[in-house]
Amino acid sequence: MHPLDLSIVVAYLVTITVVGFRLSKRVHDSRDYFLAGRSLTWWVIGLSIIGTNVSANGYVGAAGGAYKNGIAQANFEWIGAIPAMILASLVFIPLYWRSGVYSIPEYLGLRYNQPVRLISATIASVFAVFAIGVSLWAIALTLQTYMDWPIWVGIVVTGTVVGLYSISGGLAAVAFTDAFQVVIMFLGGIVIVAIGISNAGGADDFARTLMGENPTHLQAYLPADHPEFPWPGVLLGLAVVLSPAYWVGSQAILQRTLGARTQWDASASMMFAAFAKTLVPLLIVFPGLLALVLHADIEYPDMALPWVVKNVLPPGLSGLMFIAIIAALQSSIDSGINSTALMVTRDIRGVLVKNTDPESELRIGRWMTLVILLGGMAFAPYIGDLGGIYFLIQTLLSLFQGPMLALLLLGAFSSRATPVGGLITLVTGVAFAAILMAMDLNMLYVAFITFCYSLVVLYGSGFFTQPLGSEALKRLVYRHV
Amino acid sequence: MFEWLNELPVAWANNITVVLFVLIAAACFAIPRSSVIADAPTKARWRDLRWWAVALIAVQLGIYVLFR
Repeated sequence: MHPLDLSIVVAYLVTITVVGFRLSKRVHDSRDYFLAGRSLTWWVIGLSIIGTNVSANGYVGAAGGAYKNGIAQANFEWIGAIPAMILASLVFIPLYWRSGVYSIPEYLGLRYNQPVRLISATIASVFAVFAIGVSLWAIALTLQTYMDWPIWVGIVVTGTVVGLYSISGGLAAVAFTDAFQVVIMFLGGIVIVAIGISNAGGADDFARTLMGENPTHLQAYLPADHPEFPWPGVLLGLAVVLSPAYWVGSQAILQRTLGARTQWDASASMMFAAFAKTLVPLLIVFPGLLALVLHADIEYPDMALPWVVKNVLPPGLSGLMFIAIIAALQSSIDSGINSTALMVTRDIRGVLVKNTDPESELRIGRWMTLVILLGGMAFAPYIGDLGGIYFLIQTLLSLFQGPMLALLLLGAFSSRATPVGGLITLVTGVAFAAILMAMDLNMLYVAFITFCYSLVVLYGSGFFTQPLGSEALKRLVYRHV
Repeated sequence: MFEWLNELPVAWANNITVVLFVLIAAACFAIPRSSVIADAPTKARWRDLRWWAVALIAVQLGIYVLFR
């Protein structure tokens, strides 16, 4: 590694660790640890949301997807995000804020019952540990490509750095380091776009080469018979179900909005994040297209981004971009372990263990953060055997996103949704999704069908089961607010 | 189950997307301003998040018209 790159890497690691430790002095109880003492401002939260999301969707995997499928991959950042982020900002964040909850499962527990809270928290936690493992593996892959580190060394080093500031500083440390990391990500992204287009002979030559060899790579939508991203599936599955389920139901994303100083800050943070999200394809999709235009010699699509960093950027700038990738993935891991620790501590342990001591929540939350991180680290080395990162995450997500979205939507807008109906919908909806998946149906269609099924079951069960009382619904349903 | 969709032209996707975004922009204004800026530090016009949504949607419309 070039000494200039190395110095940038070391400066970055020292900075985030110091910031994390300094913020740990603000942590006195579980509210400080999990919700940053409700002190965060909109722009910090907005940047943190993007940091968490970009990595969760797979920095490396999205570039690989773009290498393979073209700019249609950016639908996950545009139609597959913006409408849902507006919905979250103007409708769901105010609802969560007014209900005073720490987590989305806690809202579901109040709106439905404790089993729904327990099941949703357990599903989300299991997925989160998996996602943490994926991010750790993606970092290790980048480190291996760029610095020739063995995979296990990359996992251990990354886990140690993230663990240090996340366990000590809680959500505040996570949010501020995320914001710092996102600024670096965008700086790196702008640099890679400018140098990449220059290397390709300018924007016109770039587009001409790309279109000449790959005619559909600059089309936002792919044909309806495309095996991975058929456009009806993108609209019905991604835009209508998967994306709203993620943006209004992901604890890792929404936890920082619950740590905002005001409701307006919480809502504005999501809208600000949506502006940044519009630009995210420059960071994660463009490198995949660039690798294609420059005829990168890579074994599989997920190698596109590391190849661009190693072969296109000069010393110093490659160090910056390298840090940008690492930062993006780290921000996903830190948010994942913090939000999962919250769900395990309050939504799983809090339900299963009666008479818990609120004073012990901070101590338990920190231990849980460590345990979850170690779980992700143990799982990470095996991700490489499971295929494309991005597709894998989306496939698993689609199993429970349909039922989850139905519970949240009807829960927020209709008093017809009942506690027993919610439990039936969640359990049978996930099972139904698994059956459809086993029938080899495209995961986007699986999400849509399961969502429709869940809406019907949840609404229909309201005719036969007992609803919550009017007083209980007051802060949990819009028509009662 | 969804084979019949395979015949639909790709151009429909962009058109549907444009219509969807226009509808979302209109729906934003069904939410009262007082609710959107409920506890904002000031009541300045720029804090009305409905206009932030409109600006976002305008950018999206440009994207989906460009990449047809």
